[in-house]
Amino acid sequence: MRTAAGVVAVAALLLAACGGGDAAPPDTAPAGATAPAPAADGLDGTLTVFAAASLTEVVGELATVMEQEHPRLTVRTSFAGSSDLAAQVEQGAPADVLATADERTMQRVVDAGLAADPVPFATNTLAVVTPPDDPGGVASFADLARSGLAVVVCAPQVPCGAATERLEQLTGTTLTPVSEAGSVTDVLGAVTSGQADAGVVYATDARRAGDAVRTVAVPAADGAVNTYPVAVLDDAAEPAAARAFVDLLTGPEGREVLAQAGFGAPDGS
Amino acid sequence: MSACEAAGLDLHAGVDARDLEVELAVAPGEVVALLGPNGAGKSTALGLVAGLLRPDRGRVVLDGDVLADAGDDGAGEGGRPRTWVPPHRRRTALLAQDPLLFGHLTALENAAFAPRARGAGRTDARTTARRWLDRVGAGDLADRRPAQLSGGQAQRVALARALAAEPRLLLLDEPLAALDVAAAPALRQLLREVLRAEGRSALLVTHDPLDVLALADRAVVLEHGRVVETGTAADVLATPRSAFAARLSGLTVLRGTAEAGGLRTDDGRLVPSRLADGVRPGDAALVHLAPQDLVPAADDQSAAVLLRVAGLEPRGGVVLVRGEDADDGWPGAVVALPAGRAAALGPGDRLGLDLGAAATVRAGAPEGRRGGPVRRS
Amino acid sequence: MSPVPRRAARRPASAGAELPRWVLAPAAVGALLVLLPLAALVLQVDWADLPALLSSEASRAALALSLRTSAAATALCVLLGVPMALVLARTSLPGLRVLRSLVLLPLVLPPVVGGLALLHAFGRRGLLGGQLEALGVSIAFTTAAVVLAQTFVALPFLVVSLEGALRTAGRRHEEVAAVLGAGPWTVLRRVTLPVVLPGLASGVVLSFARALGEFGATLTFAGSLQGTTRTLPLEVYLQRETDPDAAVALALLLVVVAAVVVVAVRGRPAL
Repeated sequence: MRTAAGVVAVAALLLAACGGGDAAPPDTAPAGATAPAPAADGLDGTLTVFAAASLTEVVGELATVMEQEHPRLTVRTSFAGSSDLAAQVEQGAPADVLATADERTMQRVVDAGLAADPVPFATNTLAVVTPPDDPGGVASFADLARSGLAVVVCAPQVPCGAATERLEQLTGTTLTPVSEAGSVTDVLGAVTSGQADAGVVYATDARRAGDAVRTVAVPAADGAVNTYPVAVLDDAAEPAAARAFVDLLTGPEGREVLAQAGFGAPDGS
Repeated sequence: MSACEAAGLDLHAGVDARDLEVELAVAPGEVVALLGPNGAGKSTALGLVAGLLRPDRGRVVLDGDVLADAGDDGAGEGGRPRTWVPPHRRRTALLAQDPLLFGHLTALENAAFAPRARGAGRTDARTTARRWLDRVGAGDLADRRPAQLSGGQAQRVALARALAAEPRLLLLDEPLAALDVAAAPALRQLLREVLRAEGRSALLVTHDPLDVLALADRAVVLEHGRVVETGTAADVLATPRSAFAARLSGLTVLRGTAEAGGLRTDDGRLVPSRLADGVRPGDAALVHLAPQDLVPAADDQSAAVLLRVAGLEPRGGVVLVRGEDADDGWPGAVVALPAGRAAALGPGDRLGLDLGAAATVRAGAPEGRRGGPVRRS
Repeated sequence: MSPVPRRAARRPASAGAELPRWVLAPAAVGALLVLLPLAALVLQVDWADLPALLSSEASRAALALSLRTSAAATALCVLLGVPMALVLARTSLPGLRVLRSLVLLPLVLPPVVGGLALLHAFGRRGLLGGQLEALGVSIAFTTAAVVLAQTFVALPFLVVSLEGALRTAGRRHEEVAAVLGAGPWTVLRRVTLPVVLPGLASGVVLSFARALGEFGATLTFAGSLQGTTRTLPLEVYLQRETDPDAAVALALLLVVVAAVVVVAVRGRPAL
């Protein structure tokens, strides 16, 4: 009997792991402790927010605000590349809210019939970053086309790379990068480590990197803007809390936190 | 005395890690058997000669060439620099228990290995190799790989490979020990021809008294890393003076003190015997007895030998009754009894023995080195 | 079938030492854990479009680059790893045990960490980067960086395989050869290497496979540019963003290569 029970337990564990394994967010963790206090507005349970990696600070901060306002509510967050998050949602990951770094990725989820009416809540533009000592002498976006300069950009397949391509077209500049990274983090890493002379990243990433990089403003970047949409997923387990979170993100408090991080306001607002 | 100019092997060396202090010589054309229990240092001694091991003290000299010289204290002797000749320049050859043929080469290529290594051309090396394969009766195996050879065939090829090296000294490390009873006698015979007929020098490590008798001129017994006995091969087996040689010979060796009437053993029993030349009353002495020299005594108290039975081995119509070993490792007495007499005995039983009427024995000096031949009469 | 004939049909060899039966269940679950994802990947393959997916310019460039760099890395592993294995297996220099552990570190190191380490050694601002730059050698973002990263992770595989083979083979054949008159170089060439050839071959195959699969160190150290530094695994990772079908097709290619390698090392299919 005991061995049989052990087998069942092992099998059950594995099945649980198999069933949820490919769909479970890779780094889901409670964003704050729950205080056992009476709910003023009936919001309780656990809210799960999937957000693009560039939103890590913003969504993290708003999750804390949310939990303070609703003591019986726990907010879990998961940050990854937008495409990864969309893929996870398509595979049935239990998320209530999805915020992506571009509209193309969100459209995938809408087309799959998993969400409706995404709301744009922020924009991000591109910036050129160099190591603090600027070994390549970069003063403008056009300088990046100079031969002999080691420039790293995002690959066209990912949102920041698509935006970089638009910026190249807008400015009539043709870059010959030494590397097309799969994520903006890799671009930033190549610059901060001094491997690259310059890189093209989101303005928010440039701001977040602080003194580790020197930022070169790109005026034309306003023409190559990424819009961040957010949506409540149709299968949300906590639709009320999910709507409340979207309201917080798109409301004045969210606006302020986003602006602090370097995000712009969407056209409509 | 200048060992350097003498032909043959002069080994006089110590290896601390193996607790070995060995001194032995092999004259030109002589085969010396190196005997001793496992771990006594036999293979280590071979390694010193082959150059697989560096001595901490002493020298290895072969045909006047100093192969290794570490000085008496390991720091060089008489201002001479430390000498070291690597194994491939020593012109010895090693045949071990395991043939250790090179698996990726044919028998012919194996036998051609040494000539090739010494710079012979491919054709010359093959001619030499073929000659030696024929010599050991393995000519028809030339194209086979080692995996396709039986144990005896492989050992023949290995012997051809060793001989093709034209060694100044052949090192044989239990060359027959791994062969089955059918293959061993033929190869022993082959070795005998090769060694005796061609007057080769060899150092032969073995556990088998047959090998000693068939192949060796002299025998050296090592125990615990020290030479405890040397002598002609026949003497060492006939009048062993070490525990190992006694065991190998199958004889009963009684130890004690010489008296006018014979040998007084350590447990106070008198073994009647005549004293050998040069042995005086009061000297430490040995008596060697074959199993049939002993008969059951009428009375245990007055018996010459009192053994405690360790084992029984039927041999034809008789049973060999083996006594328990002494505390210091010497083998117990061995007596041949009629099957009917032995039937009642079991391990642990006591059995008193006297010398048979036909036995005439001599007490011999117990020291390991024989001044002159001391034979059982 | 009734239990009796089944029992009779069982191989007699298993009668002596039978395992407790419950062991079978977790063993089966474990096998599933390994096989299920691979099966899922194969099921996901869009077979109709497979030729097109695999023959896209990006895929072909990635495959060609991967084969080229892995072959170069494997050659480098042989060139450096054989002497390393010989030193580790056949000498007793002081500090060798510590050295062995350190050299084998890349086996267990997360690849990204390896990439960071390489970056700080050979990167433009790394330990040797300045000197290399002064000599006109820039490794960053070049195919050479890929080869370096692959060699870094693959070298231990060759060293471990070969050192194991050397230790298993022992020194006795070498000693016999030396006594027969073969100098150290002849012994190495005619005895040691032929004897350990199977171990060397499996080491070569394993390090090629490891080089082919290298991802983290390449991404961190070499960058990602089609035809120059974007190897097959990097291409899979990138394609996943936009074209999951292409990613799956390329992943299948890597699985096939891995299967071939496993079979090659084990000598025959484990059936």
